[in-house]
Amino acid sequence: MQRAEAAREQLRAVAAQLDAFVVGHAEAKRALLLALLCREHIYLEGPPGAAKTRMAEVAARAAGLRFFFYQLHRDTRLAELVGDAVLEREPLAGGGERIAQRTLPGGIATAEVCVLDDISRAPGEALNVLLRLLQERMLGDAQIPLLTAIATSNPQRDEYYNEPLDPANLDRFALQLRVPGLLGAEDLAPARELVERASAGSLALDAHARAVCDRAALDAAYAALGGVDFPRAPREALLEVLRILRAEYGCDETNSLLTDRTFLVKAVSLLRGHAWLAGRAAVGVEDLSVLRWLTTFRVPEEAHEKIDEVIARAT
Amino acid sequence: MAAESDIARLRSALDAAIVGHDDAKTALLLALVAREHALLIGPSGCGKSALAEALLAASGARAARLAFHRDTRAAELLGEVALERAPHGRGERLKLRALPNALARAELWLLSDLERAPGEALAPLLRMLSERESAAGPLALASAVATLLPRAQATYADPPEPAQLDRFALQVRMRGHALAADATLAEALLARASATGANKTGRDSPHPDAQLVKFLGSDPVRDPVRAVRGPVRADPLRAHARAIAIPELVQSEWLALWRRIAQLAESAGAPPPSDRVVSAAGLAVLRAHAMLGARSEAAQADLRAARFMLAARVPESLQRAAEQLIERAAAGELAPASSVARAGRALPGDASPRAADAPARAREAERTAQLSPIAPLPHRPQPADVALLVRALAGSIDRAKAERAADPGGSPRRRAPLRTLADAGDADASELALFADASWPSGPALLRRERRSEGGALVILRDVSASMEGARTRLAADVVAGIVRAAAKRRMRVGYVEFHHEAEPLLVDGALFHRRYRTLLLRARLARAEGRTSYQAPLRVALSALRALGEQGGHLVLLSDGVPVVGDPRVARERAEASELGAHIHTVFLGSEELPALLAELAAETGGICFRALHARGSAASAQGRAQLVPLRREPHVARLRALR
Repeated sequence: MQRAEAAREQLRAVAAQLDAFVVGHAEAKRALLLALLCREHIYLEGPPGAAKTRMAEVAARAAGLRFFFYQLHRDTRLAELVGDAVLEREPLAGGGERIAQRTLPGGIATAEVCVLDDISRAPGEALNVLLRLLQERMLGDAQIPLLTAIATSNPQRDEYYNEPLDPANLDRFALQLRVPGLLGAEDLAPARELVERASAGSLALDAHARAVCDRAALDAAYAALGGVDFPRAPREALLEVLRILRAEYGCDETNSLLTDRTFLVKAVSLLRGHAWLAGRAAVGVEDLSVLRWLTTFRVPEEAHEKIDEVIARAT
Repeated sequence: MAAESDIARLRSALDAAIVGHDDAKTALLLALVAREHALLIGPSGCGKSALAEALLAASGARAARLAFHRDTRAAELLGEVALERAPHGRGERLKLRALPNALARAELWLLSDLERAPGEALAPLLRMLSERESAAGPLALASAVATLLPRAQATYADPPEPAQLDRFALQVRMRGHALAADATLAEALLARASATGANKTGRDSPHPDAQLVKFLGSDPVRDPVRAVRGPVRADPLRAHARAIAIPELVQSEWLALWRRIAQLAESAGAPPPSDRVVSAAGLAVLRAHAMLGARSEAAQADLRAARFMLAARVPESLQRAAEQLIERAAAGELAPASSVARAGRALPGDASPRAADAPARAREAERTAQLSPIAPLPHRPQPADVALLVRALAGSIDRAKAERAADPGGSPRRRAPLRTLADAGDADASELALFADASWPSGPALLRRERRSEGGALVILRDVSASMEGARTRLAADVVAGIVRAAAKRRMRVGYVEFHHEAEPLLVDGALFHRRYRTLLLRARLARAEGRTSYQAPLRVALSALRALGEQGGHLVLLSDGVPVVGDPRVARERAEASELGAHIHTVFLGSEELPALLAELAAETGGICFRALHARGSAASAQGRAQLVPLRREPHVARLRALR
């Protein structure tokens, strides 16, 4: 119990580091914390200059885990993501030689948390392997220690080159958020704080976040999630959200990805994590707000726009 | 004081290089002092490179130059590829990495013709701009100056993405003097160029553009400032700029100004400028501006720094309106941020910015669309299921034009043999190592880069006549949205024409065909029903645009709920022209009545398909299901018609 308490404090310290380095974006910060806690992957999409990469990096460093940062680009080679190739040549009895290639695990294959910047730029060949790696957390036959992958991308604008990630690929990221710029937001306070802090030079652009958490704490926290109660009311509310999406917003297999894995299994863990972070012993209907980080790219845009309303009605 | 005279010397060096272009010159000085990057957008031959070269020369910093071309590869940008082999256990460990090149040590970079770089080759390079770090370690880079052709002139390449251009804090547009309304600068340039001895060429030109500098400017003998006193060191200037304070009032006015610019952009459907403008990069420019003005503290007048940060962040048509906003802010005529915050988006008590924006918005509207302003439908269209139409288009479009083709800017897709050693970076490391030991004729396999080339062209002709009132408008919106989504997937160029008795094409930068799918989706959502129907007018517009495109086999999709009552009811001439052009006319009937024979004939005669658009029933509680296109069996007389041809 006490260990869980201490773990919660450490996770809150990660949140404090995020606040120290990045202005605004409260929503994305909470989701990042939840991803670290629940060992899920998270995808942040936003315009250039919205501090996506910065947030991902700070969260990864503050968590105190072995981390791997990679900027994907057109020329990304698989070896850069998963480790160098090793070539073994061995003469065979009776002439000829045996030539074998294997991978020396490195990069994502040895990291506990990885930041994949500009993920939509990865070439198809590297991306396919990468996404399988994220999903199965296996390289070949070996388990990899990866807990959380944080991916960022710019919005896919039609006129430009990028071939957007298809929804099935995005589905690997349980949490999906849009990160809007501060300048266009209704609430001016974060933008004002940004200007003030940038003027005062207190954004620490060249500094790195401190590791304020560690693996032991995250393990303790993860273990504590199982003890969070999930009563009937939020369970029914969760099903009600799915029902409304299906019945009133026409979500079906052709236009949505409302999979059992995401909405009946992962959602449960995330709801528990959300409740636990808030210091509650049981999931309440108020935790259902987490669902809006699941629907971003899984239901049609018009349905996601109304998700808060749907959640409110269901609870 | 030393700083002031240094700035003056830099400026006079730039003045000596080219005539006019004061904004571009200021932007370069700001970039140098703020330690930020600058982007010069302008037509070829207006002096972009000459100006950048002059800055490189005057600052005396170690410089590196990269001229992009269509086949630019990452190896050229990041360094040659090296294959490292080290013993590892019983085998050896292989690593392909980039060797540091001239860029690694240079303080100033000149990146010319950014638009020629294949879109994706830029990503790693531009990342180096913001991180000032490469895989090999920190870079000496202080500022990069890039040149870019305006979109209209950049012909074959994809336009660089705003996300990539955003890394250039300073961005300005340059215009040629020759075609300017005011001839003063053109005369000055002419006088300078025709002066005796001006076209002497330097013997030891380090770069072809150096000759241009000499041609357009004066030589060192006649430019004592530079010749006598040597280059200006930028570091002390930068230190000086960093020490400049930004008072709270200026901070909040800077924010309020960008907020206004963001609102202006959003009012025209453009994304707001990125947060970088109010973050460290933007404030560095603000400080540099104060320093150029010889102030020890940033003042209201320094809000003018924003002028040098607009070019690619705000649509060109809004540039003037944004500049007016900046001018008014610098003159203290805009309300500070606090009142903007309270007012939200309403901006009460300050009607003038709207008034100032109005002409700009009108111009934007004029440029992108000659369409009537309309009230949007209360709902967002639910894209129709157009699978069958797409299958019809796929026959000719996908096969002919939207195939993946080998392209150095594309993604690795499949294996191909190695042709030149320059491709080694794409080779399989193991095969490359084996090949190095004992070469064999086919060489190591490398990844073949491919990308989708231009998709075909498609014109949507949408009936907006009075009979389209109500549910039919909604149906049409769904069908248009469905077609646009499908086109976007295939990167097809789309034209969009609304018609009643007249045709109203949606033009983007003067052209009917474009890839502004989002604009089209927004436009699809309209509630408009007026006038009477003519097929002749829209078909003419579409066919002449297809003719201008010079490609055979375009596709037209005609959405209508009736028959033409204005113009030729048989559209005989247009039918003949479509056949001549090899254009296929697909027709979509939006009504529930009997199908007008003309729609079936048009389709059959031109090798198109005739559809009826329906809303699928029975999808639970939603008011109406997803719209669908159902192909109609060809009428017997149409089949006969085809047999005769």
